[in-house]
Amino acid sequence: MAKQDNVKLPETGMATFHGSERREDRFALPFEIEVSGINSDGEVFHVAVQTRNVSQWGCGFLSPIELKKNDIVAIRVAVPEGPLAIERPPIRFQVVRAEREGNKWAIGAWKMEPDDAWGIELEKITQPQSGGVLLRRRDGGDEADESEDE
Amino acid sequence: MSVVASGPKSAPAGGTRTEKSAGGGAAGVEIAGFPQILFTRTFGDPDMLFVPLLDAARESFNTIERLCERGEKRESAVLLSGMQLASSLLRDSSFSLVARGLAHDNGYTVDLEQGTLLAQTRLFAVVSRRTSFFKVEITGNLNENLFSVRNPVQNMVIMQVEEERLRQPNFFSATLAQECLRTQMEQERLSRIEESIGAQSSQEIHLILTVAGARVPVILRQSEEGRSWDIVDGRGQERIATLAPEFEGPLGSVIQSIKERFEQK
Repeated sequence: MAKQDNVKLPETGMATFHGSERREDRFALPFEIEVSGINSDGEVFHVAVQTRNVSQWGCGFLSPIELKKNDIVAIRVAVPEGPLAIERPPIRFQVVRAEREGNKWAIGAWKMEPDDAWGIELEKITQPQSGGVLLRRRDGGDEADESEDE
Repeated sequence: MSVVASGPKSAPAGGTRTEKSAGGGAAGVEIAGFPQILFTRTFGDPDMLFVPLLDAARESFNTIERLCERGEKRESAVLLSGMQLASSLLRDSSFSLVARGLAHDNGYTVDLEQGTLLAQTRLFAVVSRRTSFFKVEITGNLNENLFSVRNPVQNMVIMQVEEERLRQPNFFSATLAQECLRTQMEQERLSRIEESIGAQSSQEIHLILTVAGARVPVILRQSEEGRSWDIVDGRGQERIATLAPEFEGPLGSVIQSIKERFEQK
């Protein structure tokens, strides 16, 4: 498989992500996020979860609520305590992977808009995990998958 | 909520889509404020997509009010409802996300904040050996049952259609296309009449009479001195006779009555 680490797509291209595959650094950085959406019963949910890993354009987390592939959720970094805390706006993510893990769901989500979701420079905080996030999607977007690069 | 697949709230279009999936046309669905466009290659024809999209958009629109009643901020409720609508479209494998800015055969815009649906499409019709291919916009409020059909090129409302009619099978490709073309032809005919009136300062009344089974255009044209009325055969602009004087009074009353209606309007 040819490496494409140096391929740079414009931000709109990254958001729609219709290349055959895309790789970017992923960081094992747990912090609290709020995931919001509307469930299959039409009820709104806001759940606070910890990220398992994040990248500039994606994140992984364990959801107590069932999410399906292609569901769209709003994610924002949880507001820290304190008077100077600034609430970050929610950013829309598309669920590209949803797997049952015990009584929860392991979710991989891909950012749909170019706005910065995390408000931090990931590279300055920690080192990327070995390998990266490999996302594949067939042309037309009907098959999305996220898997680790071994 | 499911837009394409048969579901309790969007069942009407479920069967139609299967029958026409081979030639359903491409479309882009824009949800106002949503970062990307939902694109379908095969399900974009208004006969297939308009009604299920209307149902789904209406459900999302109603969700906004429901969420607000439960304490959700309106801005957040609009965002969440838009996500719900996009998710429901993406559950059908014919939909995918594409960047904004691309042209599509059919375009749909759902504005959940304003509660509107706009469809932009092209219709093809043949009426009286005249073939026409023209752009139309169908627009309406999600909480109402009346939609306007506009000609965006001439910036003119062609007609208003009740939702009940929009739900009839093949309404867009068959009925609406024919009606739009008929309306267009009628407007062109009236435009020619106006030009004709403009050239002559006297009053005219145009009639279509069925004479021995044939439709004959007839013009009642007031003479320049404004007293008598000439009866003119509209086919060749040939004067046939003068209207009998005893009919001039009633005809004048009819014209006066119509004038008053227009003045009131």
